[in-house]
Amino acid sequence: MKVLGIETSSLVASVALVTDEVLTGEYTVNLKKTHSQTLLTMVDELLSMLGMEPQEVDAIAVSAGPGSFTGLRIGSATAKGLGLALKKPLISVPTVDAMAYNIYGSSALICPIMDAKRNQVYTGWYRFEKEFEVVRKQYVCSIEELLADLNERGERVLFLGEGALVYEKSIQNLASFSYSFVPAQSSRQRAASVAALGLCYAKEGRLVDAAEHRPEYLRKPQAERERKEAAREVEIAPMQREDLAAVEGIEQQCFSKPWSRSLWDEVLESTCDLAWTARYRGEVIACCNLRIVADEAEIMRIAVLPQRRRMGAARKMMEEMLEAAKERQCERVCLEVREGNQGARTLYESYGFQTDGLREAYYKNPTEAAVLMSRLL
Amino acid sequence: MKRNRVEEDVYILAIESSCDETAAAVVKNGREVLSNVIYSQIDLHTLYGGVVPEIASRQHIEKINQVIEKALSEANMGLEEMTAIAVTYGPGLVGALLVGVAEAKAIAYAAKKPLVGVHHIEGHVSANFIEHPDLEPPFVCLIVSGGHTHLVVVKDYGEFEILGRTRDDAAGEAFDKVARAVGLGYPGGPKIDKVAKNGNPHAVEFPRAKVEGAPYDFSFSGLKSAVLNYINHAHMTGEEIHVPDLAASFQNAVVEALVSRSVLAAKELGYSKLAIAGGVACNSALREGMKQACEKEGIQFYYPSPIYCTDNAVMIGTAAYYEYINGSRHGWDLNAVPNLKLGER
Repeated sequence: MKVLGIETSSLVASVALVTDEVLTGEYTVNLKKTHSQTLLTMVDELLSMLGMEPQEVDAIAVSAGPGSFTGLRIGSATAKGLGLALKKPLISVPTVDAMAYNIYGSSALICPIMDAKRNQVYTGWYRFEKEFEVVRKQYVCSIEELLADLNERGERVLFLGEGALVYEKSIQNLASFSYSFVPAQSSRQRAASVAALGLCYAKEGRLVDAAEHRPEYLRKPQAERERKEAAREVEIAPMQREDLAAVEGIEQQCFSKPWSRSLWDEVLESTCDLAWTARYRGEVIACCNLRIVADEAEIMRIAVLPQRRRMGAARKMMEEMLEAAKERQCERVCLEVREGNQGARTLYESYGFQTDGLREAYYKNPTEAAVLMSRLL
Repeated sequence: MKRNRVEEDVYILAIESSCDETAAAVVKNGREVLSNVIYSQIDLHTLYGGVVPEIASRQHIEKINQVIEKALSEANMGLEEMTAIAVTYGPGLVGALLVGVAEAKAIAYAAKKPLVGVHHIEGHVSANFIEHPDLEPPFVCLIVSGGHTHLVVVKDYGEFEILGRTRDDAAGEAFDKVARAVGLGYPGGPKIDKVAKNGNPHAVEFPRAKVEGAPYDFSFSGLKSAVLNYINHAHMTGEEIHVPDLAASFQNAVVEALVSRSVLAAKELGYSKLAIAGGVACNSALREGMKQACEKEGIQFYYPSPIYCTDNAVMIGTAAYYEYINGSRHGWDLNAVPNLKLGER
């Protein structure tokens, strides 16, 4: 079986062809040039040097990540394109696994370290005495956490990877176990290991269709992380009288016909009305009002400060209101929304609300129809 | 430009991933659409109020094979029947472009097909060829999208002379910012277009900026600031903002700037054909404004269907056809060029 290995998770660009037990060829460079310019040229040169047609490749093993997001995608897209055109399967090889596979026959714990930036590393624990063994699947943590865990184990450790050099000082200062650094020829990512380990995985049946393969980033995109972090800090609580000044401000900013302070006062007094506020870092950023009449609940008001939108406050309030309506044995929840308020309508639709009808020219300033929506509980 | 005689039919598999649409298409002889597959990520990015590059790139790599395979199967053709593989290599988001470029290169290499890298904007211009068999260069073309505002003369296939461009914001960018300011959300263009239908375009007369000494250049930052100031002022004085009026007035100012310069260019330089291209070319007020102005001046007006205005791979296949028959080929070292200029190769 001929396996083409592709490795682009770091600055190293590497391609290799492994034919069963033989490394037929390998081409590795570690330079600042982008993989986009080097990778496919290297594949072409390697295969021509070996006198091979691309069609002769039986499977493509690709270093699946973690690593540089862009680097991983160049390798993955190349592998997926080859797989699609050649109609050959892919083998997704975890990058840290493949790095550990550089080492053979050591009783020590093998610990590759990739610099994940932002004071974190990608790492994993392996052993390779008789057979390759994943002791701890690749993960992301701080170097301090990694060393504390390794201190606890107290085993001898072999470090490799560019991260081991980046954090050499930390290792020297914090490691209480005996360790050594793997020399240059085996310390970095290389496609020969990706292909060789890929071959083992292929024998275990771990082949995937090229369309199915996707990189394993081990990290969410920054924008998604920030959104989640902000959303975590949004807290919902029943509205209190002291919130009313802030609620008045929200009303003014969100509505052309804001509810007055006294109207909200009445809401707080009323026995059939429930009201909540959402806070982000102490600031009241959103408010809502649910009215319950017999077995029907109506969402009377829901508003989020414009600059605090898209942080999940509206969703949290929706969930709070739906939960409250359920608790009070309501069978149906309804609401009215401006026809042009697409953002709100999308939100309601995502909670299963359906349009029941239209009330023409219901809103003033600007004059606009109200869309009537409801859902059963 | 000399063209090689092409005897056989040319089938191009085209791939586009420069922003938030993963697209692939099969195009025959540059003008016949055999398939057009677009996977749009817009819902995902709406959450963030704009395209998030890393999220876009991740989506591309997840969907690209399915999109390409669907394009081939809808065309009822195999990869081996393709004449060449084409891909957008710039301008655009670098991470997004790289997915398409790496994928297209690998396919071309493995299938032993020539590779043609395509300029995204040349693709947009070429969208006009898809539905207008009679349209041939030379003509004046206005390219308006979220990232571009260019007024060009298409001298020949793939050959452009830039007459004017925006000095600051792209037209589509101005739409997005204004839409955000009045709470219409993302994407701004279609939302403003829709709301403006119920508004008075002369409710507020916003300034129309001219660029001194450059009659074909555009500037939208002054207009954008004027709109934002208007909104702030209204908030401070507690005045009501009538969103449809505001949207219509803003849109009218943009359309007037775009139409007047385009028609002026065609008239002064003596071209009888004028086309529009890019996402903003979907805007109904722009289409209507152009149509009327062109009719008045006796200029033939061309515009693509909305599906070919926004990002798609058919337009890339069309542009690639003319590049291909002119002998343009790219090597396995083709890179993504995020800020590729129009007319650059």
